[in-house]
Formats: sequence, C-alpha cells, structure tokens
Amino acid sequence: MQSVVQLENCYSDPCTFGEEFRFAKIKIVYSGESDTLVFAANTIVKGTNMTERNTENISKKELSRRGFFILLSGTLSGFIAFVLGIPLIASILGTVNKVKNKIFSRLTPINTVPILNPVNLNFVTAKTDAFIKSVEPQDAWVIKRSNFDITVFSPICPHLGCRYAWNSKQKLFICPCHNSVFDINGKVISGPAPRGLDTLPKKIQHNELYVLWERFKVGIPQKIVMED
Amino acid sequence: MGEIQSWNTSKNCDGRLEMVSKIWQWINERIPLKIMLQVGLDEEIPGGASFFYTLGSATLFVFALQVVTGVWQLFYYVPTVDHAYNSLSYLRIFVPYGWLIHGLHYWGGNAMIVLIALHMVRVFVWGAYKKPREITWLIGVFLLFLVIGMSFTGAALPWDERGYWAAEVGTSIASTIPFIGGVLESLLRGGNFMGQLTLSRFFILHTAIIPGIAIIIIAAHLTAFRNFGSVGPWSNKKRKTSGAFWPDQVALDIIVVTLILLLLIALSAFNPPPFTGPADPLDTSFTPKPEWNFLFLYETLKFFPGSLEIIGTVGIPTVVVLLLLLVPFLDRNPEHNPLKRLPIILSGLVLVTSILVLTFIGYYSHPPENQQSTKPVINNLKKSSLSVVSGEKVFETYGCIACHSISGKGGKIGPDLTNEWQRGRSKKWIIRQLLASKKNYPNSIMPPYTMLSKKQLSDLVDFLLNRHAPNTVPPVNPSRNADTLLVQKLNKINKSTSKKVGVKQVEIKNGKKLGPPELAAGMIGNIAHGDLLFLRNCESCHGINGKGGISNPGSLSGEVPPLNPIDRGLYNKNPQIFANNIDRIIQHGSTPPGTPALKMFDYGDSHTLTQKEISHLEAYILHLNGVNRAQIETNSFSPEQYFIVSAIILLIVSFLLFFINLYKKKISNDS
Ligand code: FES
Repeated sequence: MQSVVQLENCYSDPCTFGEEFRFAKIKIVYSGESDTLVFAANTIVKGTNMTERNTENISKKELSRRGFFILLSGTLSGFIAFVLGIPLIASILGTVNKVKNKIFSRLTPINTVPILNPVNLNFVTAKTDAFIKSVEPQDAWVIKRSNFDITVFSPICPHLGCRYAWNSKQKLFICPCHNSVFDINGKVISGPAPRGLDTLPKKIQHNELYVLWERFKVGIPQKIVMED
Repeated sequence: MGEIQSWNTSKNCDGRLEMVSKIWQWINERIPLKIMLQVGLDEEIPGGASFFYTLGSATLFVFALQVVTGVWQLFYYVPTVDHAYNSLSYLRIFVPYGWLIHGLHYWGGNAMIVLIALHMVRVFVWGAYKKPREITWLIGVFLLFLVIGMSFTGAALPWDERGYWAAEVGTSIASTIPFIGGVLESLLRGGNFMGQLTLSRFFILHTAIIPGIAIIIIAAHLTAFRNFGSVGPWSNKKRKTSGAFWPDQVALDIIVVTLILLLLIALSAFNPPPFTGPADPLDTSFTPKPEWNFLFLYETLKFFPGSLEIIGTVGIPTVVVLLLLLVPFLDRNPEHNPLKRLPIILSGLVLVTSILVLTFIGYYSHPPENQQSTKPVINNLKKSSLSVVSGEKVFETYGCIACHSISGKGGKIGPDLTNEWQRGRSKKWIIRQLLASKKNYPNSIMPPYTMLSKKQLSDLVDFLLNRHAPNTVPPVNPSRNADTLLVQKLNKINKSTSKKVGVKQVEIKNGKKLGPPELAAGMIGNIAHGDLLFLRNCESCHGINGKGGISNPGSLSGEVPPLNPIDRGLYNKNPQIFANNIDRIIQHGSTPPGTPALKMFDYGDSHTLTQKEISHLEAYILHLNGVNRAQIETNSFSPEQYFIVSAIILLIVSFLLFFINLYKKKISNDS
C-alpha cells in the first residue's frame, strides 16, 4: 500500500511548553484518503521525508512574542482569579448579621406578681436567624420585693446550663443536675455553680414588666453575654 | 504506513526539567493529558488571531462565571415563596461581597445575551455557518434558546415584584400557543396559578435542567468548532498568513474577558439590580414590563390586538426561530465575502435593526397607566359652587381623605365616597355620621368631627352629595369668600381646643402600648412603589412628601407629625432599626397626645395594607429621611471601593506588562 506522509506543522517551543510539549501535526495520505495525526516531538516517524518547515527555526523575535503572550495570559488569569476568588471565599467565611434583636418582651403586669415568692413566667421573644424571623417561647424567674424592686433571673443554671427550680419549702433555688443551691437573691449557697444566678435586663413601663432575653456563657465565674 | 516508535529525549534538559518530564510522562501513560491539551490549544487560525474571534470565548467565560456565582448564591438563597426574597436580600446586604456575587450573576446573565448576539452577528457576517459548519450554527442557535430560557426562569427566582409579574406574563403568553398552550402553562406553573410550585419548577429548570443540557450542548459546539477550526478572513490575501490559537488567540481572549469582568463589577457596584419588593399577587399598582431581552416581543404584541394576538405571541417568534435555524440552508453559496452576498447580509441587518428598534421602543414606552387615579381627581371637578369647593377643602384638610377615597384618591379604611350621592342619604344622616358616627353604626371607628363648624359641615355634605352634578347647585353669593371664612374658623378651633387639652388627659392617652414590629420590617420594599402608596394612603395627613403641615385639631401639637424629617426618637442610621421603629406605628397605629381629630390607624392590624405594601412605605419613609433601606451592611469593601481597587490593580498589572513588552522588544532588537 502506497502512503505519503507530510509534516503539516511543527511547534517547537521548549521555553513555554517544556521539553515534552513539542508536537507535530502530520498528514498521512494513503490510498487517496487522508488523516491528520498529532505526535509529540519525541515521537519519531520513521521513513518520513521531513519538509523544510521542520528544520525552519523559529526566530528569536517570534519566541519572545509568544513568551510575552503567555506571560500576559498568565497574569490576567491571575488577576481574574484574585478579583473573583476574594469575594467567593469571603462570602463563605464571614457572614455578619449586625442587627441584633434588642427588643424587650412584655412579661406580665406587675401587680399580678406575688411578693417575695419567685414565679416562673413565660414570654415570647422575636428571633432572627439569618433571613428567617421567628418567635420563640422563653421563660424567666421573677422575684418581686415591691412594685419598684423586681429581679428577673434567667432560668438557666450558671453551672452547666440545666434548668433550676424554686423550692418553696426550703425557700431556695435548687438545680437538679449537680445540686447547686441559690438563695432568693441568686447568691450561691452551695454546689458547683461558679457564679450566682444571672439577672436579665428588665424595665417597667405603665405597670408592665418588660424583659430582654439574653443567654450567658455557663461554667465560668464571669457573666458574659453570648452573641448569637 | 509509517512505523511509529517512541523515543525519550533528554537533550538540553537539566535535571529538574528531566524530573518534570518524567512526571509528565508518568501521568500521560495513565491519562492522555497531553492529547487533551493538544486538542484544547493546538489550532491554526487562518489569517492570525483577531479580537473578532474573542466573542465565543467571552461567552464561554461568562457562562462559567454564571455557574460559579449561581452555585455561590445557593449558599444563601432558598426557593420558597415566603423566604426567597428575604434570603436574597440577606445575601445582598449582610453577606460579604454578596452584592457582588448577585450583581455579577444578574449582569452576567444580561451580558451573556449581548455576547451571544454579537457572536452570532460575527459568525453571520463572516459566513462561518457555511458548509461544513451548518450543524455548529444550529447547535449555537439552540444554545441561544437555552440562554433565553435561563434568563426567563432566572428572573422569577428572587420572587420579587418584577420577577413574579414577568413570570406571570410569560406563562400567560405561553398559554396562547394553539393546542399545547394550556398544558404548557399549567406545566410551567405547576397548576393554574402562580405559587410555590411555580417557583420550584423555575428553580429546578434554572439551576439543573437547562444548565445541564447547556453544558452538554456547549461541549458539542466546541468540539465541532475545534474540528473544523476557525473559518478565517474572506480575503485570500489575508488567509496566506496564519497564527496559533495558543498563545496568540488565548491572550486576546483573556484581555477581552478581563475587561468584561471589570465592566460587570462596575455595573454591580454602580447600577445594582433594583429591590422591587417582595412579590405581591394582590398588588394592582405594579405594571409588569418584561426584561429588556423580551421587550421586542412585547412591542410586537402591541401590533396585534385582540384575536390577532396569537400572531405576535406565537407567529412572529416562530418565524424568527425558523429564520435563525434556516440561515445555513438558505445561504449555501460557498462565498464568504459579505460584500458578495449582500441579499442575505441585508436581510440579517433588517432583522437585527427591527429587533433593536422594537427593544428601544419597548424600553421607553410606558405601559397604559391603570393608576390614573393617583392624580387628585377631585381637582378636576368643575368648580361651579363655592360650597362644594369649600366642602372639598374640608374633605382634604380635615383628614377625611385619610380614610375615605373619592375617585380613587384617598385612604381605604372607610367606605369609598365617590358615589355617596347615589345612596339616597339625607343631609341630616350624613351630618350625624360626621358628628357621632356610632349613632348610625354602633361599631363605627370613625372619629367624631365635632370641631367642624356648621358651615363646614354643610359644605362638606354639599360636596359629597353634589359631586355628580355640580351645575345643579344654585350659585352662592360670591361676596362671601368661603376660603377666608374657612381659615378663620380653623384658627379659632385650634385655639379653643388646645386650651381644653389638659396634661392629665395626655398622660392617660399615652398609656397605649405598641406591639412588636411585624413581617414588613424585615422586608426590603421598593421606594418608587412606596411613593405611590404614600400618595394614596398617607399624604393627606402627613403632607406632600411627608413634609407635614396638616393640622390635627385637638392634638397637643396641633399638627399631624411630619415624616420628613421624622421624629428623632424614631430615626436611626441603621435601616433595620429605623424600619423596626416606624413599623410598629404603621402596623398598630398610634394616638397622638391630646384629643386629636386624626389618629394614626393600624394599617397592619386592620389589614388595610398588606405587609408587602407596608415594606414599600417603610423603604420610602427611610428614603425621605436619607436612609437607604437596602444599605449594604458588611465589614468588607463597599461596592465602589471594590471596583476602584480592582481597577487600580488591573492598571498596575497592565503597566507592568507594557514595560516588560518594551524591554523584551529592546533586547531582541539589540541582539
Ligand atoms: S447545671 Fe446546675 S448545678 Fe450543674
């Protein structure tokens, strides 16, 4: 079978492609049909008649031009990656939700609270979780000494976060988890609790008691608000 | 057939290069990376690289950008009707660079259509659709349809006013297609009406089905293109030379792509997509107008009213589609030079120009106003009777208009009084209604207007009863100037009532507490829409643009509080807190100190306004006070800063490249 092999084109650019990147496009014509094959330059096609194009040296000028195009492509690609990469990463890493819900919730009319007898009252807080706004039920302990002296305790034990309860016989707050005991003023009487009961911010308006729901870090002596 | 033998070179390679070479070979024995690179990069371009050929690559880049920014938006966006709008607002306002990610996606989608159009024009002029590239063209046209589909489904996803109504109109248009229209519409909507299922369907079409098909089709388009190569210039002289795809054309592609990216950042920073407010199916004030890329169709529709509409909705689009598909088969002449195939070039030009012209007409046309009532119709009344005129004044200045509307102008709390004269009520009945509404309706919430003088009451009744036929009212003696009379009375009343109001009374009235902010406070409304709603519901009491100056007899201040500038206790720099503050009043109403004739109604609690409408009003009131409801709240660069920083970096990089180029040229000249 008679076949003619022509070298169509030859790329030789070790600076940019590395030694292995040289390749040649070869046109093989046999029995009237033709096919184009691409070979890497380290592949030798035996018995071919290399045309002049193969031996033609790419001029230095041409090489430098190509080198510059490659530098340009690389730098601009780097720029694109930088300009897009920073926002893409930052948008995942740091999400801020600056608006905190600092709205007091209405708890109860003051005159319904018994004097010196802690009561646990329910109320609702509005909560924002990213873009979802919801109302959540919460509760708090309210101790009234007089109409002007009212304390509101968070229902969460400062030891490890269990819910304590008022023992009306012993006149003490007792936490069932690790037996921390607090007096009516929230002071630790005994047990592992590192600090007294946490008071919640409150205000009295038009004979109504309002409270601001907050959570505090447990297990440490300081009262630190947990930001959500 | 030549015998092929592999042979390892290591000439002029140092050890490091040899190492790289070995790794490269190891990889290639396992995966044909080399061949892949060759297929991707090895191409000879007849006539050399050109900026004209960058359009395809630019489209491909923007598509990739759409994929990345689209996926990134999914970190925050949720496709449900109750959260879609708020989740997107959250992304745009609270997430660092969320504005950029959304902005790039929004503008990228628009850029995609422009680039495809330019790419098609380029291919058309160069005759690059001719044999053997007919199917490459067909695949390309199909890609255009997919992108239009993406644009249509994507616009609905924010579930805002614009997207919602565009989808509503679009699916309605689909329903006009003969035979399959009805099925197609309910298929797209997931039922007969727009709703959650519509959003879900649009979402899955936009994020999975269409892009999935598009990726496969793009692969086919590119493979076909690589196979046949670039068609090159039509002049044989230019075709003598040739250039390589890598790195010549790639460098040009990247230059164009970088500039497009910078443009998209600029658009996102300086012309962000508008917040049109959450979708409100009950809203009648929003006039839907399609996205710009559908405007030409929208304009064509106008030429075919009534039963001919189907020509516009189905006929013309089908013809355009067929023309696009048939281009390679209509023009089979192998000639590429556009000057030698003028007929087809001219017909292409006609098509493109008519689309452009229709788009511009559509852009500048205003849809038929269904809200002509926003103009005070009352002023158009023939003013033939003084009592009617002063009655009208009373109606406007004493706050009647806050609750009652006449001819579309005014509040909605009370009954519409446009046709009061037809109800056959006596003058006495109406006066009783004005002075002691509860006598007529025990449950009435209408405040008693005892501060009105007898004259004012009678004028007001005249106005209400004679609106239909002003000419039948006998003329009143013109020497009695009703206007001055009115002003005098007003002053007297103001003085007398403010004396009566004791401090004690105020304190008791003040005891009413406000409820919490409602849903509206968390939604970002649209300022222009808020303006419209303000005009209808609020302006009569709070004054033009909220400037105040409307008297409120009996209240301690004697005036309805102005909203522009608003009470400093309500004002806040933070848009969310500001919105919370005013939301409580708009939702639950409030009574000013004193015994005021006018009080703020509970627009939310009474469902007079929807939560969405209240959100528009809040955006407008914030805007009046110089606060942007859609203020971006992140710690990172502001949009403007980010654009400037990127532009400066690019400038520096370009200068560096320019000098490197100069230096290289100098070196090669020297040697
Ligand atoms: S949690 Fe209350 S004592 Fe440990």
